[in-house]
Amino acid sequence: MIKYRIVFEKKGRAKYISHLDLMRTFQRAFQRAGVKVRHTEGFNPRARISIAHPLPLGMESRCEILDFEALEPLDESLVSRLNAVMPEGIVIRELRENTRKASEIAWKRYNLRLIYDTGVPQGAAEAIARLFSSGNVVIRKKTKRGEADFNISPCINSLNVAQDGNDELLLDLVASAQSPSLNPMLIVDAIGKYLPEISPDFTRCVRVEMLDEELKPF
Amino acid sequence: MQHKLERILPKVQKPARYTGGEYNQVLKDSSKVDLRFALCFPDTYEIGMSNLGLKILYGVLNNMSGVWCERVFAPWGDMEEEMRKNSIPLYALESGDELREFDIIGFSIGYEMAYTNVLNMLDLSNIPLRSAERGEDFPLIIAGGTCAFNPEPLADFIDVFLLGEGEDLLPELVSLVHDMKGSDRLSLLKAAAKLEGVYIPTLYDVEYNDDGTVKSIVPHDGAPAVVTKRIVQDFENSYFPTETIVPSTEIVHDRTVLELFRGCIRGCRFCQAGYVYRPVRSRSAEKLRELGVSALKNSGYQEIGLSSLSTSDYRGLRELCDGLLDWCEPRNVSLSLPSLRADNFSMEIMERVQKVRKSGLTFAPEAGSQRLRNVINKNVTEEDILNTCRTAFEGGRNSVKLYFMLGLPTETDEDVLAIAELAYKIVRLWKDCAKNRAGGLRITLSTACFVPKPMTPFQWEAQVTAEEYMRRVKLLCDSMRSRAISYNWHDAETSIIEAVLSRGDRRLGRVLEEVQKTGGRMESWSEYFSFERWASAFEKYGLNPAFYANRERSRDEVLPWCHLTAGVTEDFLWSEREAAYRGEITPDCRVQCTGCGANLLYKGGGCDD
Repeated sequence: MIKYRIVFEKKGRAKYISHLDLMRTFQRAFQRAGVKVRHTEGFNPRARISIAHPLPLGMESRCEILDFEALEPLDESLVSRLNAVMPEGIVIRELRENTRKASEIAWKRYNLRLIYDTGVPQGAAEAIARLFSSGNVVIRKKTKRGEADFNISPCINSLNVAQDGNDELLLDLVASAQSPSLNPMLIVDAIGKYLPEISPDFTRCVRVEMLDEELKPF
Repeated sequence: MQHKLERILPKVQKPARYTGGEYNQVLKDSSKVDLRFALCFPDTYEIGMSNLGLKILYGVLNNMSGVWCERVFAPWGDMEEEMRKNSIPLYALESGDELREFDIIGFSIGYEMAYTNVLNMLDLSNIPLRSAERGEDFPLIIAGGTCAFNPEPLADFIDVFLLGEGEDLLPELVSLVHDMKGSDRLSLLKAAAKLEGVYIPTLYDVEYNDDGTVKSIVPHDGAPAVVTKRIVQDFENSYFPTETIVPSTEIVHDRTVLELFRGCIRGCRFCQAGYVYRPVRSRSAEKLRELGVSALKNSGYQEIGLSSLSTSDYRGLRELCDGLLDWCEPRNVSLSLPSLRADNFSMEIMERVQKVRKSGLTFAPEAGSQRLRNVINKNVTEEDILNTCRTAFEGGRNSVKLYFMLGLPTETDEDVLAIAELAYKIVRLWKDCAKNRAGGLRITLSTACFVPKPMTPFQWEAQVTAEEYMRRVKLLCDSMRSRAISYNWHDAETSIIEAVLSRGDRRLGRVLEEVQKTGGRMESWSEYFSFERWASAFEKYGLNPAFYANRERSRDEVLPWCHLTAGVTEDFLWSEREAAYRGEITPDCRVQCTGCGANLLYKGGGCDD
């Protein structure tokens, strides 16, 4: 039994595949590729695979990680074998032996693209940068027991704002991955609350990188 | 459009069903294909993607060079609302292109309650509903499936109907459309009418009597007087999809499906499928094992289901199950066997297949008394059912599901009460022989209101009224007091509309149009069905649903579908109806050929060899 980890991208139409459906998709892809994966015991044996940080529906990623145990040794050829049998938009980047615990992921980097159909409002980039440097950005967040106030500032390691063309702002965000983990779309919620006049018409979000405690690539 | 779509998808439930991109979808370069085909299923993605017919036609069409076939499903209410609000027309999943850009739009219609979805999907595509209102530039709208055996309510909307199995006929029609590109629509339709199995409603004039019944159906422009359905002659070697699309989201039947045979030897008199899919043709166990293993390898599915109208009647069932299990067991792949009969042989097979999981038993005796089961020719006896239950209870199973119909021809209160008696016999049997008493016994009993269907021996019958159905429901309900039995009944209102549409004529087109216009869609889903909407549409056009549903037809009435045939003769259907009233059963096709007429469709010799 060898523990492996694969790093994959999830992009395009595949960003609408939910976490549970993605697990099923990988289970079948492993079957198609003829990879012998350790299964659960019981009446309905399933492949024992885990995806450490479930990606919110509708978000793209360049750095997803999936852990599994193989019943026989694997090599780099697995990457092309799997890519030949994946649905559109899921692309395996590399195969590693799983030697680091996924719990070492402390930060995640995201790129948010804020889209303004009628052009980026004057001073929007500066206003957003100012808001998030204030150290106190509180939003209402749904919890298991109704709603609660949540200060997202401690969850933000860095946030850089730049304008891209006439209609888009590009936010480069490093956000906490645990206790608590920050859903980057809450940044957009906060803009809507504090700066309603520069709330974007649509936002695209890509998870770019998983980082450890020292902000080094995981 | 992809841009607009990206904005609405985050707002709707289960967006993955609207995106395409699944493993094994077929992508072609639209600028390099000669003909684009939109294969439409008038229900949700989850239902449509589970449909074997759709998988077959998708493969057959995409195997034609120069043809690109894509899929289209009906959006759920939330998605439809967003699409209309943002002016997004209905689009095909593979390319995202709107339906007006296609050459042919083909619907597979398996049940009447999907009719309003057909209209709604055309409406969502900005395509005029009525054939007469569509210019030459619009795609050709075609339809097939079980509903094509009486497609008259849809006659105003569909250009071409295909009767019977599409594997051969559909490519013939597509080639014709391809070859005749540039000629006018009427010439195309006239040429298409010459293909066996093609029905062009506009080439037939229908006249009515004063009492509302059909007076005559007269073909013109060289259309045949009677259109006969098509069948696949060499079923053993006909196309079967082994490289199927694997959905990235969960669907209803999320597994590999293996089609054992077409048709059914049984001849249950209420069952439309049992008559219109004749004659019986099967694949060899050897071939099926090969196809099944190949489909499993290619899809990565961990379940395979056998499909047919009556699995137990497949001659090579034991051989096939053994062969499949040899491959499946070491790979954690499970095998499921629906539609088994209640006999010892089937139980033995089931025990062998379900080595670990003890699932419940499901029976469809359809009627409570042996007398009424003889009337409908449902060849299952009380003894069969009780014996099977005994084996199951002794083996530790504790749940039984029973399905019945109320309102079958000749049904009396005694027959209704016999349903309760049968349930009580099962309760007593459990008390006598259950091995595992801890959880108690659970009997789930369901009834539905019988819908007489065209091209069956009961096509002349009156459906019982909703009031009468509910009286019988109450009678049955009051006679069952055991806590072990839970009784569910289907509402009668859906069954009435189904009965109207299944034996309806062309005048119902206006009703369908009105129902769609006033918001009718997804009518097979209780959350969308509204009887009031139908009732007011009937009233608006001065039509009475009872005329279609609750009226007994005479032998000499011109039935709206009398110019179409599935091969079984009307004389045979009538003789079966008379046998029903005498309470006589007709032996299955293996005991004796009944000479129903469908055998004549089969050029390769006798059926079921």
